[in-house]
Order: sequence, then C-alpha cells, then structure tokens
Amino acid sequence: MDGAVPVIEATGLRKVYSMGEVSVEALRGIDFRLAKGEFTAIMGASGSGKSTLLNIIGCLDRPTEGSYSLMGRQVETMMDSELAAVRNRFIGFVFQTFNLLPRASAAANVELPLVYARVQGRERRERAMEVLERVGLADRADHRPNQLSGGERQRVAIARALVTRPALLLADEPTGNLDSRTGAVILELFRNLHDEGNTILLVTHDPGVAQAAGRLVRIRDGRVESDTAG
Amino acid sequence: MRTPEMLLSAAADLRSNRLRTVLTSLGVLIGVTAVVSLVGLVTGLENYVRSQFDSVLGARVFEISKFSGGFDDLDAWMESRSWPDLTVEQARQLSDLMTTAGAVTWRSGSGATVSCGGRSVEGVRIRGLAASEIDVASMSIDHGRFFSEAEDRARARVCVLGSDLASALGSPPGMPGRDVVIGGNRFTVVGVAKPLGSIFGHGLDDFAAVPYSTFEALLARRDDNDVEIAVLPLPGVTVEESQEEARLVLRRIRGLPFAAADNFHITTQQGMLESMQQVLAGAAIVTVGIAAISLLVGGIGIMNIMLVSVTERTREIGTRRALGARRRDIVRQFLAEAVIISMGGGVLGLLAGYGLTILADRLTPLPASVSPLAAFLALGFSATVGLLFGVYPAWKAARMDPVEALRYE
Repeated sequence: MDGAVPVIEATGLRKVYSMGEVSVEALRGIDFRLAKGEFTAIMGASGSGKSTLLNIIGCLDRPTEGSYSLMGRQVETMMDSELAAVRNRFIGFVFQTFNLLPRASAAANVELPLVYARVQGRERRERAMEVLERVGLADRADHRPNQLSGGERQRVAIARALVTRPALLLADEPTGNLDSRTGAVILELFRNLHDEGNTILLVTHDPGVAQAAGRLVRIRDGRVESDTAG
Repeated sequence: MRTPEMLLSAAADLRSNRLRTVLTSLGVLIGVTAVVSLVGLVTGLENYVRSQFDSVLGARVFEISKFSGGFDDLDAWMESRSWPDLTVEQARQLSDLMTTAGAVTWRSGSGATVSCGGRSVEGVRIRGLAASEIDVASMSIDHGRFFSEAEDRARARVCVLGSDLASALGSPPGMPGRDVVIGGNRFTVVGVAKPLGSIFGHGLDDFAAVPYSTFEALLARRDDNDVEIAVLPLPGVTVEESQEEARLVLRRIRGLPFAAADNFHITTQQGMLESMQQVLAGAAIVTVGIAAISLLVGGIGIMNIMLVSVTERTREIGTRRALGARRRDIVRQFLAEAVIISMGGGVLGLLAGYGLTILADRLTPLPASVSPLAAFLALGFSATVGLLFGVYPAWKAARMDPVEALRYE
C-alpha cells in the first residue's frame, strides 16, 4: 500500500437522525484524515457526536452527507454486504465491553473474523494462536471468557481485532471497563502495537488515555473542536 | 461462513442451552411421533384388510347382488331396495348362458337355532347354497362331503356344518351321518367345512349350509326371494371380461331396455378393496390433519424460542456484524439453529413413532409398519417446519442495525 493513500479520508461528514418531526444533527460537517501508522485519540463529552463518528468510520453506519474513503475505497455508497466485507477486511474493532462470545473459547473468539473471511482450518488456527501469543495469552487459548480476568478478556478481544491484520484498529473506550492498573497494561499494549506499525484510532473521554496517543482530536457539538499533536 | 462450519457452530450454541433446546423440539417430536405411528397403523390396517380379502375370499370371484357390497349412502341403498329381486331362476339362466364362467352359484341366508343331542346353538347363520358353491372354491370340505345337485333338486334334508358350529355340537370328524335339528326341521349332516377363519375378527365358521331348494322351502324368510350370485371366471379369462359378460347377460335376463341403468350391483374383490381403501384414505386424511396441527404447534414453539434467543443475543449479533458477518450469514446462523432443533425433534419423533408402531405390530393383529416414505416425509416435514418458522426470527436478527445491536444492554 502506497504511504500517500491515507487510511481515513473524510470530508464534510454530516449525520442527521430524524425522529418524526424532530431531527437531531449529530455531526455537523467533519473533515478528518488519518495517515497510515498514526495513533490518534478522539475525545469528546457524551452527546458530542464522537460515537456517531466512530460508527461511520467503523462502517457500521453511513453519513447523511459528505464523503468517506477508507484505504482509498469510497464507503458511503456501499451496500450492506460490501460494508460487512470492508469491516471484515480493513477494521479491527475493540469494544469497551469486550463483546466476546460467552460460550466460545478464547481461540474460537479470535478465529471468528477469519470464519467470515472464509479462512479455513489449520491456517485459521495458526493465525489465531499467533495473535494470542502476541497479546501473551497463548496458554489461555482454551479458556472461555468467564474463566478470564477483565484484562485478559480485553487482550483476547484485541487479538481478535488483530487477527485479520486490519488497516485500522478502532478502539471504543477500551479501558472503560477496567481498573486503572489493568487499563495501563492495555494502553501499553496499544502503544506497542503502534510501534509495530499499526494504525490506531481510539475513542475515549479519559485525558490520561488520550495522552498515550500521538494526536488528539476533540469533538464538540458535532464539529472538530481541536486537532493537536500530543 | 461455510455451511458445515455454520451447522457445527449452531449445534454448539444449542448444546449450551440444552434443556431449552430439548423442550423446544418437543412439539415437533410429538408431532412426528404421531404422524409416524398413525401412518404406520393405517398402513398396517390396509395390509390387514388386503390380507383378509386375499385369504378368505377368492381373489377372482365376483359377486352380483341387489345391494352393493361396498359402502353406499342412504339414497343409493333406497334405490337398490326398489329394484326387483335377483331370483334363483335368473341365477340359473345366467349359469346356463355365460360362456366365460367356470362356475356360477347362488346363495341366500337366514338365522335359526340348531340343536343336536342335548346341545343347542342359537342364532346360527343358515345358508342356502347351490351345489355349485363347491366349484366356486369359496368352500371346501374337511370331513364327509358337500351336497349334490340331485339333493338340491330333491329338496333333500341334508346339511354341511361350519367347523365352529360342528365343534359346538360335537366333534367335527364325528358329525357327518348324525342328525341335527335346524329351525324345527330334522337334517342329516353330510359334511363339515374346512375352517375359513375370520374376517375383521368376525368368525366365519359358525354356519349351517343346506341345499338352496330345501332352504327356500323350509328356512327362508317369507317374501325373501333375493339371492346373491357368485361367479368364478374360467381360467385364462380376466375378471373384467367375465364381469362384463355377466352384466350384459343379466341385463338381458332381467329385460332391461338398452338405455336403462343396471338394476344390480357387481362387486369384485378389487372393488371392495378399493372402497375399503377409500375409508382408509379418509383415515389417512385425518392423520395428516393431526400431523399438520401438531407440526404447526411445534413450529410456533420453535419460532417463539428463536425470537427469545435473537433478543437475548442482540449484542452477539452486533458483534458478529462488526467483525464482518453479512446479513445473510446471520440469517443462515439462526435458520440453521431452527432447522437443527426441528430436525432433532423429527429424528427422535421418528424413532419414537417407529417404537410405537412396532409395539402396535406386536400387541394387535395389525401388521403395522413404518414405510421408508413415511420416515422420509417425517424428516422432510420437520426440516420444513424449522425453515418456515425460523425464517421470521432469522430475518429479525439480520435486520438489526449493528450500531443499535452493539449498544443493546
């Protein structure tokens, strides 16, 4: 991939939710670029529109107006099944609540994106073990989520996000459900992943977490309030 | 997601909620059990009917009578009643004129008390038979002989006893030569018939047969000149050909105009079997109705649980969508679960129904059996029910907005 192509290039993003008579403008024109290898944090109060922006960037939702290209692909006009393929191929999601399948082992959880990518059998298992090893949980591969600590669960979730070798790691309050010590470990893991060349976009309302990133974008009332190198 | 993988993953999800899965499949299980065992029973009944017809009645013999041997409605019966009797003279003429008949015989019947020595049996079926009865091969003799045409002409007071009646009055081998009293008249026993067995549990060997002329003179109900005629076609002649000849000849004998409808019924074994099968087809329709209702109930149960499951797993659905599952993957996942539940119930129901059928086969005279077709249908239907009632929950799951689903508490 040519370094000149940004991972994210969004211009004039608007998102309007209409509920009958009332319509709410969650995003009021956002321009946003993210280059390959960047580690950026998005901050904003609840209701600022940061979740909406995250959903659009994650291809879970489409903007009402504006254009968004991910790895040079125009996303806003894609059909649902194409969006699913884009999510599968280019994005690794890390959620605040981990969202592991409770009845599947750590390894099976990590394999799940590869199942949808139609990667078969041994290759799938090997790649899952590889990323579990990367997050230091190779010995927990057969454990179910309820046999793991919160930090371990989030590491399994990060392994799941990494297993498809995505162009973008998208983390939504990844330390929000963890105590500060465990949160620090997870944050350290993100920093290491960034050092290894991963592009990371992290949404948080915790300034301490935001400081870990090299760039901080503040969102307020559906607009970019500030965009600073940290 | 590839199909085998999807099925395995669906099965794993169902295993983790074992009790609910089993309870959900119970509806289909009971439905399929009912279908399989009822179809098994109806099949058994049909086999039984056929075997009874084949064993007791000669397959080629057809019968002519005023009243139909099948199952008529009241109007048809009333119409038959208005027709002139079939008389013994007509039977004799038919016997003389037919060229395709190996044997023609005629019969009538009434009831009377039969006694011998100190023993007496009430309500015995008295049969007035022509000597040609033995040629139609519907009766054969174990001890002694059948009566002759000469005895018939002479109104001889001789009789042949059914084996059950002979046993009731004395020992069957000892009966020929003894005298019995039938309806107040003294007869000499000349023979004892070979047991015919029973048809539908009704014994056929409790009769006393006397020559037709003797019967007409001494034992017939007053005003009853109606006989039933039985014809055995010649070897090499089809039943249909012989039947058609009998029909045309009898129309001529009875002086029917060209355009008039027949005023008698011809009943073949095939025809009786067919009308019997019509009754059984009715039973089969009832079975299908029961099956449809129970499968419907089972299907609604599956839909209900699948809807609960979809709601419970909203966040899982959102997660899967975020990780790259297409709508179609979600649909297939939930459809697979519904079909597995349903087919699981179907397989168990098939086994249970098979068990019940075997039990019925052992415990009743019905040779009940499960046909491969019934088994195939049961499984096919249960899979269809799973698909049909799984579609809506699966569609509901796939239609979810991933953003909403991920936010669901």
